[in-house]
Amino acid sequence: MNGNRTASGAVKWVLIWISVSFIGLMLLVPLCLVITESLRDGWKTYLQAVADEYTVKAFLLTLQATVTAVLLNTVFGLFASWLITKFHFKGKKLLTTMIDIPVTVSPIIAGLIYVLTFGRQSFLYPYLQAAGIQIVFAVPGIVLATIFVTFPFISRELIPVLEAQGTDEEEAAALMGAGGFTIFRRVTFPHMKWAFLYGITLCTARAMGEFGAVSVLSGHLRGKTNTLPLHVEILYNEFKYVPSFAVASVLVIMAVVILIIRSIVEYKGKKRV
Amino acid sequence: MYVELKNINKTFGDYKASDAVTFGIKKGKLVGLLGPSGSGKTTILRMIAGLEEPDEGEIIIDGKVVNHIPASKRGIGFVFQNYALFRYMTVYENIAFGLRVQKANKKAIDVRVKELVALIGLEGLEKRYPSQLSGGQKQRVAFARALAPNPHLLLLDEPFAAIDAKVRQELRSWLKDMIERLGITSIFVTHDQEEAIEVADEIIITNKGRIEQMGTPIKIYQNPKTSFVASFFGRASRIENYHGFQCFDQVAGAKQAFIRPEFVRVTKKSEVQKYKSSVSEGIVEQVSFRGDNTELRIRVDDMAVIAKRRLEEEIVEVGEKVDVFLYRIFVVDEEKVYLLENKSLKDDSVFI
Repeated sequence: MNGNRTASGAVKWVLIWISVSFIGLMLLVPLCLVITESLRDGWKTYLQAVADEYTVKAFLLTLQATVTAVLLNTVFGLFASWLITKFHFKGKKLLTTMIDIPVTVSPIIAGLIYVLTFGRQSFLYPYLQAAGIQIVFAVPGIVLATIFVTFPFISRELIPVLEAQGTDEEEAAALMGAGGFTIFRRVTFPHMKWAFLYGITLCTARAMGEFGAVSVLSGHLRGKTNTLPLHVEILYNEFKYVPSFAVASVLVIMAVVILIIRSIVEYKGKKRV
Repeated sequence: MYVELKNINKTFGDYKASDAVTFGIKKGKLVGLLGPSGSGKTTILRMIAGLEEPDEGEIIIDGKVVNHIPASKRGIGFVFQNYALFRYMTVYENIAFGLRVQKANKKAIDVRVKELVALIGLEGLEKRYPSQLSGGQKQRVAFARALAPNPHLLLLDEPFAAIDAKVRQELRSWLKDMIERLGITSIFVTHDQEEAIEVADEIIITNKGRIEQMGTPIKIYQNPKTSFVASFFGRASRIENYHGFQCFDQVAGAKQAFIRPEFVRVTKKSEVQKYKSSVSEGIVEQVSFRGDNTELRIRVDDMAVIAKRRLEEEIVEVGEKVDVFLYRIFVVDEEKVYLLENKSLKDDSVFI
């Protein structure tokens, strides 16, 4: 028994060592390098790069795409998971599988799908043109791509929670005369609150960093259709290393903020249960 | 009749949950739906509540057909098997929920909730969450929550199933008292015959989606109408061919019989047996101590009979040869149950 324990202690330390060095090498070192590289020419250059007109515009566009995608996916995710867990209907499995498609499909393909659907070669193009709507190489395309890529994040968090809960409490509430909305607000929602917030943070993080699908649809018009990740790439390709790293550090900071929010949400959620 | 079910049929896929279910319940009665699991008793309860819809037939409550009235409008109190308390609400909020939904005024809600909390004896625990309560306490809260909006009918689905044996006993009599005091018509589902006998004014026995028999516990116990009821009620041993025992009339076409432990008298060879000439010899196969008695399994020819002996009586051992005397037996055929008395009991006067 005793020997067994020391053995597992050794295993524990080996595993910790492997994990920490892997994380350090693959994650922490590069992240630190981003920050130090961006500060190589001093704070002044850094602030210049960050406050640059195009950077600010890219930042705002990223924010716009993220907020829209998170809002729409939240609404969709909420209804989809409610539908899937609380009602019985034909084609439920199919719907569940379809929701997962964006996770399995490469983002580049997602971008191409939208180019094919809304671009010049599409049969929809004349109608869109007539209506004055431009999707490809414009802001709507970027938003669409972001929505596509972050589509399942919220419903995937909610479905397991709602499934585990069952329908008894809802039935009890219904028997006492509560309407659908009251039941949702007072009985169903409290159950999924933490999972829901967790889903939103995940969705936000992913939406902010999206590169592939957005890259295909954006057309890289600086100041118009350039999001932060795309802006980093452009700067990098122009050999402007310091500004490129500076902009990247903005993304890193945003991600860290989201991560902190996520941990708080997770901690509070655990405390309640 | 306050609650009436007329010819209810219900199938789930190819499983027949209710097969021509028909019964009526008088106002103010406490009725137990008793049957093995999968016999369709919970389905009946859920249909009365409006949580399931019957395929055919009518459900009548207080003279009105309620088939198309949604569950939320039927004004029925329902206690779920696992209580289904709202986990994220306090005891107080749980009980108040039904009244809040009805938009009762705040003072009236407060008065009613306090009254119910006192009724269930949980004063001081109003601010607790369900996860901070014991099983028995949860059950009481579920009961109070169902009663809060003043329903005319209370339905309870296996109300004691999730509670440990000791508390269960206590809760049974508590619930019976409570319901009697409130005078509310109540139907509860159980698979435990002891519970049904103890709690219910009347019992409805279900089997394979059908109603086998309805009546007071004592009537059903003494007078089972179907072979299923005879076998289900009491700890009856089933005998394939009762002709092996002496002194019983023959019923044409019926061979199978059920013998309840209280129908059997077991005596040691050394003990006095009044009807010595009518006993069968058996071998004791198993002796189990049951607290206030010992239960014996005795093999008579190729039949196993369960019998009891009081603790004051001399101990019987496994492998011992004993005399088995049957006072009466239930003989069953496809449709009916016949209660047969041992003939030697009638001949008493002649023998003495």
